Amino acid sequence: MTDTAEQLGAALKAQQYIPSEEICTVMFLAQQLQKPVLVEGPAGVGKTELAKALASALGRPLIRLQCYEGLDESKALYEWEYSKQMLYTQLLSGKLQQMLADTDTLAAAADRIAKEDDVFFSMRFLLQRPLLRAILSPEPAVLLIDEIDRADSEFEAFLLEVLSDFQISVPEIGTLVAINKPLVLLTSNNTRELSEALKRRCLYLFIGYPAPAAELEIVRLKVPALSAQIAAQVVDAVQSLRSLDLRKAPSVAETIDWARALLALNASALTRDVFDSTLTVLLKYESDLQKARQMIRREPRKPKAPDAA
Amino acid sequence: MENRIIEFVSGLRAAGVRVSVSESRDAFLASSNVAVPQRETFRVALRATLIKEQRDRETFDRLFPMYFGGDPPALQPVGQNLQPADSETLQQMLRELQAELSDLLRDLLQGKAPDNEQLREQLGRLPARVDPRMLPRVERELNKRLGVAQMLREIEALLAALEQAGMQAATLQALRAEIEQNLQALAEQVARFVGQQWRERAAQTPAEEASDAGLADRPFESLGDADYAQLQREVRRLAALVRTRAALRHKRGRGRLLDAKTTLRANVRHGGVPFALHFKRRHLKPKLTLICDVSTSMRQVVEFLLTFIYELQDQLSRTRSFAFIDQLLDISPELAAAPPATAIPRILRNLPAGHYNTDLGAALNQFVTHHLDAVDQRTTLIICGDGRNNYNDPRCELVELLRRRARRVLWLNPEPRYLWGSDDSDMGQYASAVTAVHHVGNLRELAAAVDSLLASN
Repeated sequence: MTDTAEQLGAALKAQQYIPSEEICTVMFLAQQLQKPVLVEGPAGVGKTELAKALASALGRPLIRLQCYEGLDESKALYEWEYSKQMLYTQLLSGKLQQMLADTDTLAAAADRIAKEDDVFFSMRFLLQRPLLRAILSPEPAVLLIDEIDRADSEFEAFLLEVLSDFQISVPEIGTLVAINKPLVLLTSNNTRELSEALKRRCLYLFIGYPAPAAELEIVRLKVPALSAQIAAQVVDAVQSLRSLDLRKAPSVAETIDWARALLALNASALTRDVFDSTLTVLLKYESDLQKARQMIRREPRKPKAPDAA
Repeated sequence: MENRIIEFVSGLRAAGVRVSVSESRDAFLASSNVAVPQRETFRVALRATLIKEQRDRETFDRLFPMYFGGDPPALQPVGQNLQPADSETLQQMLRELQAELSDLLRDLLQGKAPDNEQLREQLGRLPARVDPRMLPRVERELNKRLGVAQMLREIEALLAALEQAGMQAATLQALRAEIEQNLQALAEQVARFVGQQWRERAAQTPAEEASDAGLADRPFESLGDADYAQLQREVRRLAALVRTRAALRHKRGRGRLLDAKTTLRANVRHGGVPFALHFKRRHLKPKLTLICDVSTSMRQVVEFLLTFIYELQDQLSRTRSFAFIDQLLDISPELAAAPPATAIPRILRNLPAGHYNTDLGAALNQFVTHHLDAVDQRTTLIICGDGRNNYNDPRCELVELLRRRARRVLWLNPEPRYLWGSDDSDMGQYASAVTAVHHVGNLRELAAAVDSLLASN
């Protein structure tokens, strides 16, 4: 637990994640209010990365639930391990015989077995899926529910109980209440509208594309071998590409990929040729590529002299 | 501070943002939890707890300074730091120009802003429910009524006169800077006043009740922009209805296929006795490909259709969308990136420039040449258009080709049936080439068409 938003920011930075002030404040509030956070934003701005960095910054285990179409309770919550139960009954059959030896009637035998119900429906046979694992975790965990918009809306509805009360009811055992409330992060790429009820229970954080200075810091941190001058040019170029009306604007992940590509090519400067040949790392649509090429033709990049000049 | 937050929440509600009681409680807790009362942190805390939609952020950012802005900067008397000689020139000039200078400018030079009484007199009473986005316009109007434009001209005249009287350039520069500072402060005060008036009105008027009565039954062409927010709500409501019905069909519908593999695996627990049956469900979700006419006459229908499809994404296995006027464009990535309401204007901007003449024949030709992979025997192809082709070749044979290839081809047409085939409409020919045609003149019919699409899959 960190005491202030600033401390949290510093801890995140130590995990190679550059948070904006807003991210720090919201994450800090999530800890204080013990509320889940719904994180939205374009793909590749580091939503999942934030959860990972947060977990290691706080020294908590990260439990991840990747959502997909058709995800149901047995995959997200718990499942009885039937084969194990069967195996145990078979192995213990001798003991059972012995236990039931002195009963006369069927009813008496059934009663005696009923007393031992607890053995066969105990935590031992409960296969814990991510949500239950997060609730039962002996140390407070960070629970990442990734791409919630991909799951069906029924799943979303059932998530409400978990998120607001941090408890799960298992009919055979009873209600399991969180020992330590996990810090929950939900991410969404907004492919469909999430329900109001879910949004109401969460704090909301939108992560957009970073400002030039922050992006430069990220590139310098992730690709330290790249020279400062090229890193600045890379960020500059990506920022101006984002101002174009593109079908898919390059995000931070692509900026880093591009910086790595330039490093691998050992480029000494970001000339137009280099730009042209590596542009496909940044842009994934033909029409976007054309627009980007038009842009550099319109404002010819001054050929930056190599460091010697 | 707590009262202020309550006021702010009711202001947000008046501006059309949905804020629930539990969310305003969160806002209280959050504001008391930010250790250092920094304004920026406080703002972020309120925003994270109150605003849950990207599109409401703008309203929040506009309203926040109106409630938590602190005091606006005060006006300062002009010419305090002048040399005695210059000061004398200024005073003399002011006396000379006495008749030509407005009270507003004289007050400004003395560091006096119009008081609230004067402002109120000029502004009058704000109407109830002014969209906060319109407030800059109200400010401009108030500035105009105060005579700010006239004052700017007088300032220029005054400075010119002072220059003639032999005042030095540097002194003039300093004087101008001081005046401009006052002008800014005045603008700020006017903005604050307008904001405050809006706040008072917002506190008096209760939040708007949704009155969507009959919206679903009104024809598309009679729906104005004013109803837009309500319409979006109605679309969402109808979509939720359709979704519930689809989900029920899913669970209870007949004609389900037994999934032997999953059933066996799931019933290992019962010693192989199939207590719990499992059914195949993936075939129940249709695969859609849409071809939408986005010419002016069709735009609204298409937008609603896409919104519908977008809302029902979880009931569909895969959707691809194309738009055309005379050129075909794959719009699936745009729709994946943003909801239809924002994506469609972008798509329209991205359409290749040229004469916008609807030409479905050419668009179909492009579709068959480049995107035939979007149609297979499990796809439902939906064409949304009025079938008015500007006397271009309708290329009906392509529709027939697509129908043979697809599971079925549906046509959604907003035009009433009796107009099909009149003038440049090729609808009569198309109608015989497709599996079914739905007339979608209003939202309810659109919902019914989408519902039947999910039902008969």
